[in-house]
Amino acid sequence: MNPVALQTRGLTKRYKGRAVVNQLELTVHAGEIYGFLGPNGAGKTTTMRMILGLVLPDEGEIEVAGQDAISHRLKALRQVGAVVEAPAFYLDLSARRNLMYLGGLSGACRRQRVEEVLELVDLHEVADEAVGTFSFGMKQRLGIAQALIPDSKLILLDEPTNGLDPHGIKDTRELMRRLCRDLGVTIFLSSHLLSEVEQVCDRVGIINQGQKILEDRVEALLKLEHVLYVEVGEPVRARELLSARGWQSEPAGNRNGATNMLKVQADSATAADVNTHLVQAGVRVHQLLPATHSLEQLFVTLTENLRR
Amino acid sequence: MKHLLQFELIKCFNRKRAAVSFLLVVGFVAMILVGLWLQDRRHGQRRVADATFSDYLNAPMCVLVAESPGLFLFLPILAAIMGASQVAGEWQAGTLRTMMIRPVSRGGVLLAKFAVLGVYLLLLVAWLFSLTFLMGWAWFGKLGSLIVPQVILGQGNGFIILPADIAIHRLLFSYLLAAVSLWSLASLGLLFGVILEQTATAAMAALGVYFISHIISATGLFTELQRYLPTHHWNWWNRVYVSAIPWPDLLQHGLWIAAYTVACLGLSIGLFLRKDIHS
Repeated sequence: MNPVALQTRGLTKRYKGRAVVNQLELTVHAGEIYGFLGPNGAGKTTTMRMILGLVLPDEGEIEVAGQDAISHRLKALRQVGAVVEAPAFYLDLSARRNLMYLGGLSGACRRQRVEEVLELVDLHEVADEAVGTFSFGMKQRLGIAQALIPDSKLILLDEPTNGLDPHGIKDTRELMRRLCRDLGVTIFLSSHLLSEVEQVCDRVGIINQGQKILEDRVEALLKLEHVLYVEVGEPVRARELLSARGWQSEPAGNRNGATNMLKVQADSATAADVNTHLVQAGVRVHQLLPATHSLEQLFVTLTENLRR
Repeated sequence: MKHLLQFELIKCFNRKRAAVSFLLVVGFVAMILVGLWLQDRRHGQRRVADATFSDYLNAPMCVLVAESPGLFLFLPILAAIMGASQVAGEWQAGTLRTMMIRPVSRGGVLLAKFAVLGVYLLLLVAWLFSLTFLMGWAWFGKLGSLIVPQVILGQGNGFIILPADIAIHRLLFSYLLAAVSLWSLASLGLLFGVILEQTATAAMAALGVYFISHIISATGLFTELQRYLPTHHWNWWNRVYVSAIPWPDLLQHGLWIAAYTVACLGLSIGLFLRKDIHS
């Protein structure tokens, strides 16, 4: 397995006593594209802001490439690029000057690198125009360009295809794949477009109400013909009970710091048996979901059930 | 830090706000000169000290006449707005977020912004001085002695006449002290910008403190409080026109101004370090 590019442990942020991110544990491996999903208000942007040092966590740890990103923020961010929410630039400056100056804040910024990324996002022809004249889509592309300067090893992208036309969306997806495949860049992608996540991500983490509820490989999630997701009150005991009946299981997420969601090797026809077995043994079953072929279905089911 | 300073300078002087402030100074100076020309036409032969008003109407006088309204009222407004907009403006535009996701320290960013405010205000004051001096010289065609009404020093209704050889030095010194006062006021704007996150509200708060302090000074009330008021010290620039400069007095004012400025900057940095950036 590749080394860890980004890891959070027990990450928590409270506003007025309410935890918007609660004991969040994430592990992103180097060279992968990690999809970070969750409904509006789930705590995705707050998590990204904490990783980037914009928001100060109340508890927990953040490590970027093995470096403590809270106590050594400057060092940790040296090879990190990001676009958080709508891209904002200095409107009176040209695209090229924005990139030169912003890139320079991360260390030496080569003019050649600026030209490369401008070419990459197809803004080289308008590079000397003031950003104030740019459309939203052009600013979005410039946002991606600035995240690539200097040679970032980890890129955090928050809804990077927002405001892009279909060609722009396709190009951005290809760009992400290329960065990951050819340059070994790790991408942490937050998106509402589940089809996009399905197409480009290697792994996904789903959060709701500030807690991770599921984390798995996309490939595994999409090929789950014989898998049930079961959320229980006592996961350790539930695993023992399931194992005794020959159903293999493993933790698939966490709530309140404990792993409560189990991924059980059993098809949907036996869902009732699994449920009966656990309930009769005194284990509370909060939800039971047959794995589906679409990430969207899984996402909607998981987050809607928790909302109820 | 060098790159950060360079970036802040570029941002500051590329803003329309900066260009507008320099253009406003042109309009202000033109207005002062037209006013002096009209005064000369109507009352040019009026006796002032040992000569007439026309005799004393020269470039140094133009600079002095522009100083009071310019440094009491006009430039403080610009200083407060520029100070307030340094953080709050970027907060509102979202560019603070773009900048702070880079490996730059929050303290470093505020120090760079503060330094750039100093450069901007020094240039603005220098622009007011040089423009008034050169345009006054071109229009009235004279240099010479400077006549200073003692009323601006709070010393009655007489006049102090500074010979030509020291007049320019005193004017330059006075404008330099005024730039320091404006920098201090701008640091108050910076502090309110960090607290309030909105340029207009922060500028209003800084100007509120400035004018309330002036009003309290003018009313003669709260005599015990007056020595602690910032405007009591920020107006030190008019103390240099007396024949013998009161150096101990200036030093004391300077220390108070330094204390105010350091307190505002320190508080700004302290608050900014603990602030979540949600812009």
